[in-house]
Amino acid sequence: MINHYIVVSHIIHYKDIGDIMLAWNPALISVNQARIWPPKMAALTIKQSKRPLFIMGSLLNIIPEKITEKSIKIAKKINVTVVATGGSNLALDKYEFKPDHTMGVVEIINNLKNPDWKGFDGKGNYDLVLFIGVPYYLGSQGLSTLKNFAPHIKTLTLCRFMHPNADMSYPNISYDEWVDWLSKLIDYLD
Amino acid sequence: MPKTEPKRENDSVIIKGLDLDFKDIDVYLKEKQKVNSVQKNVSLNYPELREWDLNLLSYFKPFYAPLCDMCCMCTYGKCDLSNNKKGACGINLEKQQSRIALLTSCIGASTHAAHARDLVDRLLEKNSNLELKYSNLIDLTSPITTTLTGITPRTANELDEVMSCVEKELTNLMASAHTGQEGAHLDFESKALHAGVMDHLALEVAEIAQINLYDLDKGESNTPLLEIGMGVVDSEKPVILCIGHSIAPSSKIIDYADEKELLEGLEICGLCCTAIEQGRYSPKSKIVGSISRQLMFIRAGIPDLVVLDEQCIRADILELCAERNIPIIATSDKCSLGLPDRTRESPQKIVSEIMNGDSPGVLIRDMDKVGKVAVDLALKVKARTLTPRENSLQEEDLETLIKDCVECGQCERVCSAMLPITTSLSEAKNGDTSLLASFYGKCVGCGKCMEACSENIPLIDLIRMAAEEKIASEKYLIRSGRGPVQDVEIRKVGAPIVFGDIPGVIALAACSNYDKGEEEIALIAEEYLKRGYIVVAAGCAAMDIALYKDEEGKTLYEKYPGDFDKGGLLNLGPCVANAHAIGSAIKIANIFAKVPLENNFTEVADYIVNRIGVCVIAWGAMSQKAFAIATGANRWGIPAILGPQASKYRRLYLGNDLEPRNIKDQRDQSKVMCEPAPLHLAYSAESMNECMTLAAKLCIRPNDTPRGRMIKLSNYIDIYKKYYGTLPSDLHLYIRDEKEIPFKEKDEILKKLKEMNWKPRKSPHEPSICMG
Repeated sequence: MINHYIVVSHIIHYKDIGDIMLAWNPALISVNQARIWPPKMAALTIKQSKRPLFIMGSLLNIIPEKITEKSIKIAKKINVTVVATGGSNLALDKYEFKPDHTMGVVEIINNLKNPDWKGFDGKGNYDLVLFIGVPYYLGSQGLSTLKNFAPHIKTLTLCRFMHPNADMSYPNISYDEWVDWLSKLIDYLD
Repeated sequence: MPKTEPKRENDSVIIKGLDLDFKDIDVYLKEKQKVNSVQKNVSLNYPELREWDLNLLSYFKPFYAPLCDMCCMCTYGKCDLSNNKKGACGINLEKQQSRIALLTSCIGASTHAAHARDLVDRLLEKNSNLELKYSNLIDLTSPITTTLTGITPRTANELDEVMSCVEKELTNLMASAHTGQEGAHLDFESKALHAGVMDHLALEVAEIAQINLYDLDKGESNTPLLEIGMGVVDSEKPVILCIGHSIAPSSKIIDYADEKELLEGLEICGLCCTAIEQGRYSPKSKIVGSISRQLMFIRAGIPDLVVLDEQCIRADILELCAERNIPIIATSDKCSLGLPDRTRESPQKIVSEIMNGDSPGVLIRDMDKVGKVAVDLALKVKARTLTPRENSLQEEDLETLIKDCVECGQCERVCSAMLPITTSLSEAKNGDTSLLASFYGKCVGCGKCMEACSENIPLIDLIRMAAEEKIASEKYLIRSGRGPVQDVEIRKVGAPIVFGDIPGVIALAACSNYDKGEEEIALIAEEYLKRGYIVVAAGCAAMDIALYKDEEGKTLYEKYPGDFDKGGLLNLGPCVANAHAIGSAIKIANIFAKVPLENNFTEVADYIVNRIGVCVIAWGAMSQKAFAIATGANRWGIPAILGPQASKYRRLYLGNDLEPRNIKDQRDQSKVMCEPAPLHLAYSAESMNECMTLAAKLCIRPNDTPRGRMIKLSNYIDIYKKYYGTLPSDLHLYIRDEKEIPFKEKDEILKKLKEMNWKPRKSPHEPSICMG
């Protein structure tokens, strides 16, 4: 059951661990499932990255603003290139946050899968891509592209639905828990 | 000048030295017809088409997003292809995706081809030498067929020949997907594109055949407005619901009811494309809506009888109808559902068999008999149900149905539209059903939520009950399908479209698998109509844009005229009428630019991709047919924007979004760096906001005049600011000269261009992507 687990630091105790770690839509089973990555691990991964990229998707326009606020805080804590996709600029604008780039999520994934892409700044491709707010099914497909055709890139999803095609993913969590996990991630990034 | 009577002698006319003998003319015409039918074999030049494909794909590279990392198509497998590994047969994940693209395209094309074949066979049965009738206002009667095969069908026999050619090609294409055949992803893609245009050939043939068989509208713009919506059906009358895509059974039902003067007392309605077909045939029929209404309408128990033809029918339709005691008449070999074939039985016996409960339904392949049985049966079923209906599922109230919900969330996890079902049920338990009611129009009607529910809660019924008031008032108007675009309309708009004064043509196609509700497709249509684009629609998209009213309570079809002109909204017809959307682009190339059509695919497609600002939007694309339609459009050089769910098709065609494009100026054969226009050929947009901005951009073409480019950029910038809140970052790629910068933002844009070190450049006189 989704709500029946507690989080203590980065250790997770699940009453029904199998269910929570499955893809949000259980039909999206995958040969190589993502590893569940709690906030502390996520923070460590982000800190270790030399060239991270943060994709902020269109759902930011329709989910509670707190998520946008947290996403911006994460971006400001780290040296990351932020790409707004699908019109999320509108949500980001409310916080006077200007993304580094605006592009279609399919377009950015198409560029990322090319190991020779020079990146937005001409300094080369990225080594870690963070996702938040991309519609689940489209996000899942994009992650599948990167998983199968871009071995040079690691992906970490900060969404509240488990993404099996990511390398690392938050599990399926409730909205309140999601806010909590994002807050913890911000703290761990200090 | 003195009037002189022409001298008449033996059927001859002499006018100022011109000696015409009608007998000679007659002989000449007969000979010409003979030559046409004897010498013109219907065939296709695949090697030449493949060359075009490979060229096209060098600009628009396939992008793969696997939905499944495995292959289970032969007994060597299952094979794990993840990380692009090879399977036992040697195929890797990339090739497997292109193979699936080919299969998907073939399934879609075969479905339309089988539909077309059925109609052509009916035409042949009527009279194989039947001369096909077209509108007097249309000379280019079959632009797709003429361009691909060199043949312009004039008789039923010639349509048959075209279909034989399509069938042969599709067999070859399917064979390529067999284990141990094709082994290069680009060749799989070329074949997928080929299947796409075979689909278009079939669409065009189907339309010509049914327009002739059933005397449908042949391109009139002011077709009648018809009622559409769940609320338009009067369930006090016997209700016959036809589901599918073929006009054959419903036309006979309407004919028989009319003959017996029963039409007023019956409610003959349709769901999916059959509904549009019925509306073209008789404005007295009602349209329930698109495929997304199927499950809900049947579970509501409204129909007294369901008549099936082909395509887009739920595989569990028999069980669904049986649960509600609704008999079924299947009419096609393609969808027989295990029902007994009663084609040779007398109508009276068939009706008795069903009324006695001996069978939940029957298969009848004789359409005249279908008409008679359907009407007689519906009347009897209705009479029976005037006493309390013997539904095995008695309707309970919402509160009772909901009480068993344990809020496990499984329904939400499988929901295609990702609706917050658990929250809605929790709120409904506390008496607030507003969230549940809001799902009507957003729910795609797949029913996966009910399958996942451990408590067997009928969620689709709950949505219907919660939205009862909304459904009862769901009465809208849709313009009846008009068929082809007239040549005279093309003559009027050809130049403004090619030069950019009319900023583009938006072709809305495909199904109802929307990510955030059906309203989005209407909002997309309206945004572009307001800006003077021409919007054409077919199939479920044409129905869904009708389910929206503005502040004044008007639907888009009431607000915008049905002409192929600036700000016109055209319902072309059912999904086979997508042929007319493609056909209009071909006609522009021929009528405006005099590009010859016969066996001239490459030149026509090269013209379209570089000069005609047309963009397909298949926002709710779900089926293999939708994929085939979009893929075929891509081969003609027409870009297609698909909804986010369509990323599950696994393949897109993307251009390079970061750099200018190297093309050729045919006038002096020089190579030119120009804007990447159209940017992509097949793209899955993340949101309506992205679709809005991208469609404006995908209407830009290298051939735009400076004024036309300014108009297009003005729309692009305006839409971008509205839906993204900022200026586009790629304007430097699309502005060739300062005079193309829209006045409104000129200073801001010039500043940006300066920062990017932008330099003006010349535009090609005759742009072409054929570099060879």
